[in-house]
Amino acid sequence: MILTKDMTIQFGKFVAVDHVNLDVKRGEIFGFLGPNGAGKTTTERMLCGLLTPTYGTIQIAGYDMVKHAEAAKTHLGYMPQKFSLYDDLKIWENLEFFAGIYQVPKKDRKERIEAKLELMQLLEYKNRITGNLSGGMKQRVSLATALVHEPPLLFLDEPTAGVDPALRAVFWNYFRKIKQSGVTIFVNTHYMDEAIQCDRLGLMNRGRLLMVDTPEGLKERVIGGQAVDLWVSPSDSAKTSEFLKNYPLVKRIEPTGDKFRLIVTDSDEVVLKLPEMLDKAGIRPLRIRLVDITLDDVFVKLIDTGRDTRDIE
Amino acid sequence: MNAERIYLVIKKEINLLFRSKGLILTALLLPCIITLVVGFAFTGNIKNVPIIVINEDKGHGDLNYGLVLTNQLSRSDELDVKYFGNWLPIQSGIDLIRNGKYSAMVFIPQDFSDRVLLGKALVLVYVDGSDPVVGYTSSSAIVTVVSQIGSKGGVFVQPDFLFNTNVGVASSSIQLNQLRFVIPGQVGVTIAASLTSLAAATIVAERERGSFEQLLVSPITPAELLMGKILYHVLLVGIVDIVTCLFVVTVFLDVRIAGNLMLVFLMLFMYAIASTGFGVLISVISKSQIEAAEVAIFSLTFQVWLSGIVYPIRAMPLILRPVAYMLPLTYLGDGLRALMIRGSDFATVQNDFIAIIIYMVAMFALAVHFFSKRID
Repeated sequence: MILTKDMTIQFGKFVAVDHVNLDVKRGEIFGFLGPNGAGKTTTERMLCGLLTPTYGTIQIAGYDMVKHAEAAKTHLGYMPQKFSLYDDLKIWENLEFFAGIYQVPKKDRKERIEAKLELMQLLEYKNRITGNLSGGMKQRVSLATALVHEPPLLFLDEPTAGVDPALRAVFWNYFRKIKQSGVTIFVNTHYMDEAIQCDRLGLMNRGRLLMVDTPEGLKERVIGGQAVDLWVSPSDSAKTSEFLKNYPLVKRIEPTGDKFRLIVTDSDEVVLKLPEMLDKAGIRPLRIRLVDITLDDVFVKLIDTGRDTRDIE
Repeated sequence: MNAERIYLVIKKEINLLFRSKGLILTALLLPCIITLVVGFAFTGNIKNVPIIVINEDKGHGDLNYGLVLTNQLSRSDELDVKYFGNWLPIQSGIDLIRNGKYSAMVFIPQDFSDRVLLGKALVLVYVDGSDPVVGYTSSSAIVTVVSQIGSKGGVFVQPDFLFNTNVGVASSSIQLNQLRFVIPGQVGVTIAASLTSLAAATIVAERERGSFEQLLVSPITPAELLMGKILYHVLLVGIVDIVTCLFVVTVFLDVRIAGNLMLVFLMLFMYAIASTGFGVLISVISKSQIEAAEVAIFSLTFQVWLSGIVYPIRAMPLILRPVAYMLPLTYLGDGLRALMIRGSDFATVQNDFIAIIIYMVAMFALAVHFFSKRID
């Protein structure tokens, strides 16, 4: 649905997006992650045709975004981060306007608009002036508008930034419903609890696409196993470190502050047996705990790695 | 270009207009008020200019032409005579003008009556040159009255403009008490001011609101969007402005349109398109509404003073004249003056039409060009 080849954009000497190759499949929710300034928004703006890449190609639903912009643009819907419809128009008028701009066949227009408003549970408010709506309702109008021409591809730019957690859950229900109707969704987000709901994730840092995988796959690849946290008294610290190096189940040790984070192949086994073994070695473990690796960990880890390699370069 | 998209942009703008009271006021009512008030200021005749008359005429027997002249001057609507007889020295009279109490002085010499009978009399006239309009008015009124004195004619007047050497000697035939010639230009300024500033806000407003992005990701082309914006402004605001301006000018300000009304309308209509195009161009290249407003106001000020509607282009320094000929208001002012006041035909204003059309097309092309570039 989205296919880019070496997509690059340069502002002066600054390379904001550097040879990005994306391949987003039909019908998936593709999450796009990265720290502020990583080039996420710039990438999304290029994919939507708001920016022209300096180098490389972009295909949207098979249409080249640079050469056949009009055709490519009719195949995508875009919901910007900031509400950007006309405040002084009624909900219905906003949708009607965009349905016309996208040249939805005249005979289908009324029906389509009604269907989108129904989906967003807005039909009964259709004659309200958009500017008077609450933030959450405005976002729903925005989403309905992005869908009015039934695009096979939907871009969401941090769709739930500044939205309360309950409403965020509601929105993700909408997104899943939209996905079920066969729409591919490309979503920029900062929230890891949202990222985990995506089918696949792309991680971007410093203009480069670092990795693309499922949320689970990312954890596996980045962290390389399961995690266990171990606390010992500071005086035992050096001894513990030495001991853990020879312990076969431990793949990696990450001392952080007062604890050791152990990346292991089988965390259950480690939690069960390690305390006893430490005891035998004369080290008294204070506490041992299974850790659920979150996407946050993955994120921080990846960004750190990226930073290191860059600094060395 | 897709006609439906253009139509939708127009419809959307009209919807937005009628939802915003402030916009209705500025777009539709303000031009009407401006035409009425400013135009009204230019319809009046200059009346009752205070002047001094010093009469030293000793008369010729029963005849005293000095007194006759004074009476005639008093009867003139334009003048308000303060009679000083023969006791005020000329220099004191000039001081009174300098103090701003009077605008002119007529000095009748002691042998005036004798010389009138001989057919070679002289009257001295001093005029305040610091306000040329009032100065010309009073001096021309005085000259008119003086030339009717004596059966044989032969009374010479020599108006002397004080404080302003550039004004020089007034040519006696200028009739400046009718300022209506300013009105066609003023109608043009009103329409330009209204449309340029409204249009200047239009794209920047979308940009600031964010709706611009929503439009840019859609398949609408720059030409379609700009065409819709221009047509909306011209077809609604422009036509309402033109009609109210012409109505106010003919009905309330009592200016008779001497030429073809359709031509006047057509010229104003094209000028409205050009002004809107200019506003849209400003809008496309500006980053904020304030910046756009600033540029619009500055360019309008430029047009008002340099387009020859207030001050004749012929009187401008050579180096400034090309600038004047680059301004669309120059051609509108010229054309409307010909059509509205002189009653000229199409052939006379043909070049003005061509200039306005060129301007119109150029503005649109430039706006589309910069719009496409600014997206990146």
